[in-house]
Amino acid sequence: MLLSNTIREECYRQLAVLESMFADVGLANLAENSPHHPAVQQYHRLNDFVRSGVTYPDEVEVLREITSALLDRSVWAVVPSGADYWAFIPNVNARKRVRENILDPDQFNDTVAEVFFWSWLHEQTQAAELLEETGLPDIVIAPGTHTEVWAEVKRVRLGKSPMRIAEVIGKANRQIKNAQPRKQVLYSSVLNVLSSGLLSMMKSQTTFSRT
Amino acid sequence: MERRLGSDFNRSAGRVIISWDDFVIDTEPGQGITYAFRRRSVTREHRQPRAEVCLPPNVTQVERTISISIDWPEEAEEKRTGHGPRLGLGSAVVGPSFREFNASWDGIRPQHALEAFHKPDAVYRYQFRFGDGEQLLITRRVKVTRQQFTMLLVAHPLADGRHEISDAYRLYDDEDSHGELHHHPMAAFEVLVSRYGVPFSFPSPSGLVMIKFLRAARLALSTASPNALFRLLGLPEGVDALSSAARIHTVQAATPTCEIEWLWFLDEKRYRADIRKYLR
Repeated sequence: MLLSNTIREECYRQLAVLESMFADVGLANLAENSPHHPAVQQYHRLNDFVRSGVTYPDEVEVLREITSALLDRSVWAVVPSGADYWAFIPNVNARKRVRENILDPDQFNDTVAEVFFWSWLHEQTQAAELLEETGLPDIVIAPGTHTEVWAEVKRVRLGKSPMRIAEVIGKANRQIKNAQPRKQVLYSSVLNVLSSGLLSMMKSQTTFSRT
Repeated sequence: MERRLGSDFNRSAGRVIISWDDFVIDTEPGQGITYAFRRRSVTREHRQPRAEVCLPPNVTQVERTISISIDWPEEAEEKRTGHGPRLGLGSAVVGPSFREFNASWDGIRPQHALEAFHKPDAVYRYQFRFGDGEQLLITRRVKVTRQQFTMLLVAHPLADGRHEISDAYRLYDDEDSHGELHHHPMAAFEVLVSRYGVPFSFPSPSGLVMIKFLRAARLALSTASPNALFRLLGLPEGVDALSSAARIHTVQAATPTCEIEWLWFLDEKRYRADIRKYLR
């Protein structure tokens, strides 16, 4: 068995994080209501991974998933506890929106991306605020100051055409423009741009077996 | 994206950060394997934004890496097979040479090769002329990526009845192949050799001829050593990727003779440069 204790511990931690995110032990409720939810699938894959070890040949995909989640959490670093997992988001309405949006299979990863960028800005000591107002961008930085900046986070799904990025920029631009009179809202970003070409390019061949 | 951030477009978007996850794998056969998963980003500023973005560029530059290292179960495998690390599925295994050649990101994953072995589109058997044994050429069409290709495998029987896949190559379509190579393994091999084979000289009865592939031939050598063969073939300096030399054995006699079953040399740099064009 080559699954190191470090990786195993991280898997358990991520299982606990997922449960805390949804306040749902074993994600039982989520799985019942939405069996194809990405978080449910991730939970099952992690469970399988912990139970069966690193199973050739899917180790890259599983490890990618684990580290991607780890990268997400590297900026907000919340240890799951009995309390509200999302309590680290000060804006109560934004917190509520995050909690609701992650239940939607189509919005789960998008929402995590928003939280990641908001947390990233916090880590960079920026006064960023995660918002919840419909039609407005996701984040405002230095609100109320002359350097106020709005940020919109868009996630382009794997396999989409690179042209999709152009559309996304246009859409983000409109949202930012609508944020007037809180002006100069000039930040938009796209997370997880993994075109199929890029992904296949990065897929390396790993050749090892485990028992 | 550059056009979208031109003077007349999207002026409210003063800065665009595109972030993505990728990974690199660093490994050597028999050594540990390290996965480095990275979150990276590129930033583009609008040329004429409605207002300047008052954030230092480094604030929005996403760069983070997580590395994971895993050991190879080399000992256990060697004990089991007696022939170095191998991976198996059913009656086929992939061996160390396969793993070494395919360890980089452009290689073919062992599982894909093993699956192709068990579900081929076509198989070509070459029976050795100078002794027992055979070589299989196996093809399978791979359609999962945007750029379809024909996977060509080279396999040999093992003493235990299984087959070892020693080589695997990607053959992307060109104007001549029309995506039909997977029906014809020998033709696929010939295409491989014509594209990526290293020319060498062959002393035929009519004099030296330059060829890229030789099978079922006897050659007289000055000394009974592989180097003598290489010298005879006039291989250029730097050819270090001998591939699919299914059998070269030297018959000890008054004049050492080399019996060649199947011989060609892969220009590995050209091969990798070519297939990487399709993988980008």
